[in-house]
Amino acid sequence: MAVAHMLILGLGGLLVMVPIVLHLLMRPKPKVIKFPALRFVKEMHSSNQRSLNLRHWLLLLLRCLVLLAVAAAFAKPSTVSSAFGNWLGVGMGGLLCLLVIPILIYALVWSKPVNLPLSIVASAILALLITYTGYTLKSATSEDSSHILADQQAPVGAVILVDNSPRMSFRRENQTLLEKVQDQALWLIKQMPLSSKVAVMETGDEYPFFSVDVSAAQKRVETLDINYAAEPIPDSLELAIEFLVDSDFERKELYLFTDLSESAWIDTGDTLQNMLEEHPDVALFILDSGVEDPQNFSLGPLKLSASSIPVNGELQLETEVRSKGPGAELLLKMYLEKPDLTRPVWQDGETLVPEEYWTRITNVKVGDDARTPCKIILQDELVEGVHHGWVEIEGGDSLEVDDRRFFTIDVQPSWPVLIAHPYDVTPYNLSVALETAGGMFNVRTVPQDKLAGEPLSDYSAVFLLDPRPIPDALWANILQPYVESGGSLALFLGANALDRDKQPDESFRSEAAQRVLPGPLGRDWFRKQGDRFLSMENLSHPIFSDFRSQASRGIWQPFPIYRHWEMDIDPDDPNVQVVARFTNGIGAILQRDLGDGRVICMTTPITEPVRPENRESWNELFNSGRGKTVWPAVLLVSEIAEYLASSNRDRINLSVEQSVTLFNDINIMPSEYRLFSPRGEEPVRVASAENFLRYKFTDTPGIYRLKGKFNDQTVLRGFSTNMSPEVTNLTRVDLDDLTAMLGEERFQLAREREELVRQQGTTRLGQEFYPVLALSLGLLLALELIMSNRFYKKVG
Amino acid sequence: MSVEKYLKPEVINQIKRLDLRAKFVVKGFLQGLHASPYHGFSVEFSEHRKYSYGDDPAHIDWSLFAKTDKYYVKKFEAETNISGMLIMDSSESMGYTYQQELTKFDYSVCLAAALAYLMISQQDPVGLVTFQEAISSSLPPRSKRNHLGNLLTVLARLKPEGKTNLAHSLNQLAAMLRTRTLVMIFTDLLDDVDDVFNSIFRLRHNGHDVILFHVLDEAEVNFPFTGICELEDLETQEKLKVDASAFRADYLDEIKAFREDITLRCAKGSVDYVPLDTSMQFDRALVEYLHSRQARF
Repeated sequence: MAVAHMLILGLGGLLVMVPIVLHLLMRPKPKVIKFPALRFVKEMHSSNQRSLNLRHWLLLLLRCLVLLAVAAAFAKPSTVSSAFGNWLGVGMGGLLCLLVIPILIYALVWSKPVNLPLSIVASAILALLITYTGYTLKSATSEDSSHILADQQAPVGAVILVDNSPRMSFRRENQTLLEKVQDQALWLIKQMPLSSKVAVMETGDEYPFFSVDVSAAQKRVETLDINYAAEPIPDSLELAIEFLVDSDFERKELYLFTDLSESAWIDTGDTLQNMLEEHPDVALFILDSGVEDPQNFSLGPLKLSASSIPVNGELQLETEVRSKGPGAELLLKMYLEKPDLTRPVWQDGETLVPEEYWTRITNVKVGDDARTPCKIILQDELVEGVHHGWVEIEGGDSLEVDDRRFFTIDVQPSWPVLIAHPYDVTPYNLSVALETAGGMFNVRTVPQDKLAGEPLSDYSAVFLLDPRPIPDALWANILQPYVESGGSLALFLGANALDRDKQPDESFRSEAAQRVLPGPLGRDWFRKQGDRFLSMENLSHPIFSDFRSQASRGIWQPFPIYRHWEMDIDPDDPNVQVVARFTNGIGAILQRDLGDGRVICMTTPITEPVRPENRESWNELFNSGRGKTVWPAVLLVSEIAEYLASSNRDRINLSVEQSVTLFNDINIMPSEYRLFSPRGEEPVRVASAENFLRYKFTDTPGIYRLKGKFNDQTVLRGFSTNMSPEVTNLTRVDLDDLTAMLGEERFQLAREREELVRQQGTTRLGQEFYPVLALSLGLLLALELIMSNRFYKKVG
Repeated sequence: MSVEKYLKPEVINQIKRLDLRAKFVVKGFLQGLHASPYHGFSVEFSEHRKYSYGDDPAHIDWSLFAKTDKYYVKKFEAETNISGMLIMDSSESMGYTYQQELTKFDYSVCLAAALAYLMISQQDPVGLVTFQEAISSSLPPRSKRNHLGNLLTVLARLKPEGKTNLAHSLNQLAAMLRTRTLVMIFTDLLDDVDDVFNSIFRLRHNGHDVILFHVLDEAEVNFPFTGICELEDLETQEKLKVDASAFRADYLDEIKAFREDITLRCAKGSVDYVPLDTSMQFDRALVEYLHSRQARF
């Protein structure tokens, strides 16, 4: 607790002596009244005299308290808000103690005989009051950091933390929220006391620092721009508090300018709350610049069927339209740039980009606070090369930044695929399947023993059909590096994996094999009855994307599985997943992600003849006898092939702030590119290093274009970045949740400047006791008046 | 205090009005109370009645027997003369008044004067005894008109002073009274009540009729004081500091209990008890009392 005028308080303490002296020495003489019937008075006089004395002392107590209250009120005591309640409790507890003590004395000493019930009750109440007062006094003194309270103009160490998430580009009254916040922050800096230091931070800043002077801080505020990466505010707050705690200022203030959107307040546990509790001297002000009931349409994440597709292939774009507030019928438009070797180009301070597009328009009806999925398909029009495009909501709204999603696709002539098979296995089934895929694949078939001689890196995918035992050298030196560097490998295991004892061959269980396969090869399952099939229980994997529309669970019924392998996979390995199962629950198709590539393993072959020699067939997946059409197996195999081949080693659709790495073989590609960023800045040079192009300043969503020359040929490449849709979720954080996160009474929330000024005053000067003391004084005076009137009423 | 104080024109008017009413009442209660025992003394014929066995033959109207040859007895109404004795407490406490014009003593004198007036106008003898610690003065009962003036003169000259000893004074009175007397005591009873009632019962035992006019000051009945005050006894000069506001309820209870105690004692000794205070109009109080007495006898 801080007292502004200690002298007054001291004088007040001395003044308390006055009523005591008056009471003891200058007691007014009562009027003498002659009264003959005194004998009736005498009989009850002694008890009356005791209560009279008690009332005198009570009156004296009241008068002393009146004087003390006057002195205390003028002395202007104040404390920090958090300790205010406790100090009030101490005051009330002490006052009640003072009132209960005379009652106890009366019950024990004056009352004849001793009033036992009253004394017990009074003692109990007194004990409770003393305990309560002591406890609250302890809390009050432990929480009290009133030493920081002082003159409002004492210098301040302040951090101005500005939430500059994309939400702050929400436009309202012809001003974005960020612009409004900048105005407020500039005003705030101006009205800081002299010798104060201000550090301006934006969410995501890792190293706050005090600006050298006011104008530097203002300049910093003026240059604040939207940060598209999702940065949680609690992390920045923790940094700011740490920074302030380390500073030398006695008074530490942290101003957070935010729109109070839920998505920025990711609960980070108790860390922030504990920090705020540990450092009560850091005053936190939250300035809410958000909109109470925002209306916004936005696009959800954009999913591409593949980022690399063959010429004439099909591009599917899936996204969803989200509405915050009332729904509407919207136009969704997709733009895809037509390749133009002359663009991009930097001219007159701006980047010129291709101006011709393929477009697709679709209508989307979205309800109130709803999400509507939508799909756009582009087919048969793409030409070879890297294409950039975007999907946007036509018309725009208050928050435009989330109305558009960008994408980049790499269109290649066709995917080179290598099929390796033992001599006794015919690749016919797979060849047929890949041919039906519309020329998407360029297939080369080699015997298995020739596999080691093939340059696997030339192929998008390698298929091993019912392979014979594979030596460890092949696993370790050829297959593993191929997959790890981004290649795709498919194995269809069958009868050739059996050794002479009809047991799984050791080469599929070796250590080298296990570094590639989803798991070691286990037992083989055999069921002659023909009632085991592929299961269609889970169709979430991309290879079943075309099966989902078939909806029939009985499509595999005509194609029984008689025999299959089981792989002993580790269920806890996050890189291994069971894509599909047989009806007996054993994994039929398994996937392992290895390095940049992936391995698909099917535990029954796709190359089974109807009647193999010297053994029984493992399945009838491709048995087209009895008028059956083997389309499910053909579709499945082609989907596997497409899935594997399209998994490009280059990730060209990224989130903002993700660094990009593009494979760039300088033997066939330029060693240096110019990068045109969506920020519209002058292009920068990006050089290839160790056959890779690396770039990490992807802080703005949009299309990043790369332009280089190789043998006088212009090479165009690029990638796109998008921000997370959650970043622009305008749902406001619940005040109770905020309180739970930051702690009760640990922050001040303001919307307007006046509110902030008031709260600043309260925090800097503390909560004053003056109103409470004034009220108490009134009550005490009233009590004193009543009692004294009652005692010294003029007779007659 | 002059004689005129007690019989001012407006007071006389009150008394006159009272006189007409009270005449019958006084007559009623005096005669009703003392009927029959004094036959043959100042008798007045009332009516004839047929003789029946057991009647005193001395009452047979022989002249009527001569005319009618039947026995008739005469009935008579006795006209009783009763002595009244006014006993005035003239101790200092009776001289007390808080706000009223009349002290308890003045009030008692007015009351006594009215009763004396009524009795004398009824031609009943009335006397006066005043006392403090002992009988200080007395006037024997007389029924002459000018005796009222004597009574009032004595009362007017009297000044309340000194302490009270009612019991002793009543004992002296009992020794003084020869005939049966209507004893009317005017006192505030601020004395030892047990002794007082022993004396009163002695009077009753001697065949006197006793009416106890218990006169208190309005302040003594209502205790109108507030705040802290110091009370001083008039007779003993003893002082007590009290919080009157807090004390009032207790005091009222005490005074009520005291009056109830007196009422019970009076009822036990067939004494008429008339509680009065100076705020009551004495003539109205008297009329009310006489009415109630008439209803009882």
